[in-house]
Amino acid sequence: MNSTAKIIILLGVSPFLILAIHAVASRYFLRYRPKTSRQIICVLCILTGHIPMVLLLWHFVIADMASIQHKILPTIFYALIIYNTLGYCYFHIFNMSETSRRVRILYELYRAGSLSASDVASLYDVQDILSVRIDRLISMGQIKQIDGRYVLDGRILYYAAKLVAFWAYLIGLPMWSSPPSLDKD
Amino acid sequence: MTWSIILTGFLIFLFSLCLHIIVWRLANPKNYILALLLVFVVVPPMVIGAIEYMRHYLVIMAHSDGFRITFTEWLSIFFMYFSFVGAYILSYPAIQAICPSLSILLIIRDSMPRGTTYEELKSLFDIKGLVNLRLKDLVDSRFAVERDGCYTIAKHGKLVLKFFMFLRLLLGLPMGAG
Repeated sequence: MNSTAKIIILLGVSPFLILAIHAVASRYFLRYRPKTSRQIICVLCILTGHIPMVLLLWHFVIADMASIQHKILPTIFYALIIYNTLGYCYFHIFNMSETSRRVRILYELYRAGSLSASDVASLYDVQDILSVRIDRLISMGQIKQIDGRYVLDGRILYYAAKLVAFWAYLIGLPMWSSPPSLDKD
Repeated sequence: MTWSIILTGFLIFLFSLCLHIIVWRLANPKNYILALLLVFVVVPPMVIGAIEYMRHYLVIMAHSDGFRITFTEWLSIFFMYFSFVGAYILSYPAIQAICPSLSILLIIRDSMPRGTTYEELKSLFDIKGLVNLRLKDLVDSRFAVERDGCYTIAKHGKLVLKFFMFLRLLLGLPMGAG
């Protein structure tokens, strides 16, 4: 089997490797540290997955490339890009199962059989939607509360929010052209 | 693996993103999942295939070897390309919908250094609007069906939901709060 096929197979199974690590970590944290942010656990599992991936890549692919040394660096770069892109995909799929309103609505429709729009809305409380998200953002270190007011703490998700708003504007999505905002005094 | 393979993958993805911007600006499709699949999964491979075929035909006509990308190289390129496509399509719901978490961050940043209270945040979110928009998305994407004001889950919706339920089961977690 040539090295390209080996790389593609290795990278193709990488999301399952992440899933296996995540299944163990998720149960451990749920039992012993239940307050840990589930998103952070997922990210840690993806980062941890680099170790077995690099070892497998080295053993099955790089070790056979001694005679074509100029291809080693692009091979490693290619593998890192794709592993992290697939890891990002895994994170999004997991996060959808955790936070997506659409998935939640589908679940409620599935359980109830049939619901009206107001029945669906009654499953959600503004307090619930906000509290759950605020708690999540605090546990991820993105915001903190000082004297009853929320302020930014970390910046990663804030910059992600800016990027998303910019991209939505670029592709002409109307909803982001005027996101909710407080009137400045 | 070579740098040119990596560069080719990036360039094809860039071409798809440009096509995406043009199509969305002109049409803003309701069934965005189908539209994304067309723009990212169907059109670029067809265009690349057509270019490769024409180039191969011209090379034969000119009786020369020409520059060829082998089948395994194309495999590597498209594996990379479809990884990027998967990442973008999975990110798209957060771009298309008003994601409450990201909105909260923008609102809080806007209010800095003073900060925002819980009541101020609550006043800005219309719960019925947020839910109704998501119901409309589900119907437009054919994951749910609406009849006489009642919503039921469609076959595609059930398939998607079962996948997420299975994932939560594997991770030992209950279904998410949404």
